Amino acid sequence: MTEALPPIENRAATLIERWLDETATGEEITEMESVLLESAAARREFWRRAVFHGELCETARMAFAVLPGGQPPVPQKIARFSSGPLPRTWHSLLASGLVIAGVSALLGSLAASLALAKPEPSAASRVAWRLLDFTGFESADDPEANYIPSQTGQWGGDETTVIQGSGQQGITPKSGASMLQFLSGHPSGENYQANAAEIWRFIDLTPLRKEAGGESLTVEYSAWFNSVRPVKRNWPSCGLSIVATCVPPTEWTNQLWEKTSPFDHSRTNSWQRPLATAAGKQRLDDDLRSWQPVTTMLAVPDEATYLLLHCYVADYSDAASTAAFPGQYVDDIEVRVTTGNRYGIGRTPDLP
Amino acid sequence: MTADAASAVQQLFVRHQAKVRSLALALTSDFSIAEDIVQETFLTASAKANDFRPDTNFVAWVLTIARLKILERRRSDRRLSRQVIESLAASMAPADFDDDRLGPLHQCIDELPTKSRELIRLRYFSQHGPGEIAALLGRSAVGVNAALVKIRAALRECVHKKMTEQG
Repeated sequence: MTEALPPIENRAATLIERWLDETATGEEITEMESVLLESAAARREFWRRAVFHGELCETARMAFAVLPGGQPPVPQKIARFSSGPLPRTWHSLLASGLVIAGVSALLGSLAASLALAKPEPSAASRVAWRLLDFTGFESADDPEANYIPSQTGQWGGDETTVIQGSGQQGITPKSGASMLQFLSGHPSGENYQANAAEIWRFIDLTPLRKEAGGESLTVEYSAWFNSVRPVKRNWPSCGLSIVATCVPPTEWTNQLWEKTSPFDHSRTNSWQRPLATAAGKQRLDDDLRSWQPVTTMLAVPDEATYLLLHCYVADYSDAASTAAFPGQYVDDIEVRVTTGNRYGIGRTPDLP
Repeated sequence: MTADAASAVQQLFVRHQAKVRSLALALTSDFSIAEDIVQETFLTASAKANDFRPDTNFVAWVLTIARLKILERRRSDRRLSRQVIESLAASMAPADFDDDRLGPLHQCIDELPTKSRELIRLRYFSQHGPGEIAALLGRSAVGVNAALVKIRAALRECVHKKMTEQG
């Protein structure tokens, strides 16, 4: 049930979801029909999703029917940053939050040391390219709020917006006049203890490899995060990860988006399994004035043709939801690619 | 049509009406039309009760009636072609509709975060479209669409885990 889908069925899954939510355009319906006629696997996927859609309809009648007075409540506009009741498993959230705090403290110190360290490049390497502008979102439109981007060179993912001007909720941009705010997320983590808001971006390595003339590549990926003061017992965190892959953007399954552990190799089919990954993570503090850095680095395997960048925030409070994320921001995302194995990452000892 | 045959078919229909509703919703993607299809299928099944042989598969029989009802009343603005409906019907199996999933699904819905549960309630209980939900919540329709996709995927995963644990 959790297998990744080949490309044609992956596109079909997107179209089927739009069909079930009555948002498919006429052209998309025509495209879906064509795919369904071509592919038996797509037809199976149609039934898997459509039957579940029906089961949700059936179950909702029971799940939401018992209410005071026997009437459903009138839907009300939900205030963006209202806090809700504590989740039922608040004691397990607290326990898991303490674990994350401990791990994050370690990661935080590591991330800080990486941000501050400035090792000298070896004579055999050079700084090749700064791929993403250090100023961050100064002239960019809001990233597309939808699925994983299907082409390189653009952010896509959960709903976000560029905040310009003097800032928001007491937080001002790290640099320049703009920063990116995460607006919506989705359930993630074991037993839905957290909500995560994610954005993704593909980078095509082919032109870089031509410029590099056959030398190996090292990627440094960093960003700065900030957060509003967290709700008690809430431990928001932030993180980055890089995936090196030879699978082009159009063939990445939407299940990457849907998975709670997207790079868990036990759940990813071999044809789509990343060639290499690197990640960094940090717990967000409650100081509105301080932006916190996260950095990660990856020695890119020679056979990789794309990089997939992942940037996320995760929140354990009930106020964080798909309708409203309480207030996490990212700024100054930077990607630098250097030739040569600059820091000796993954270097194996010379054999005798 | 005998009274006994009609009564027997109607009892079977009540037991399996969720499957008929699922099929209708799948092939029309419209809650109100799906309900009409369920009602029309019930009436036709009752009228043709004598045609049903008790030693055969009732679900397959009643879903065939439902499929024909869907073909009869395709709307011009949103429809699947006859060819696609027939192709989908040929690849459908009555075993696809598993009532055993409903209990775990109910539990999984209860375990959702409050705001995610609210989205499911607005979509599947109140039967609002994503655009209406977006207007009610002051969010973008695109964001609501994406959220529903992700919540459904998380619920499928949750149901799969619970079914696996139950054995």
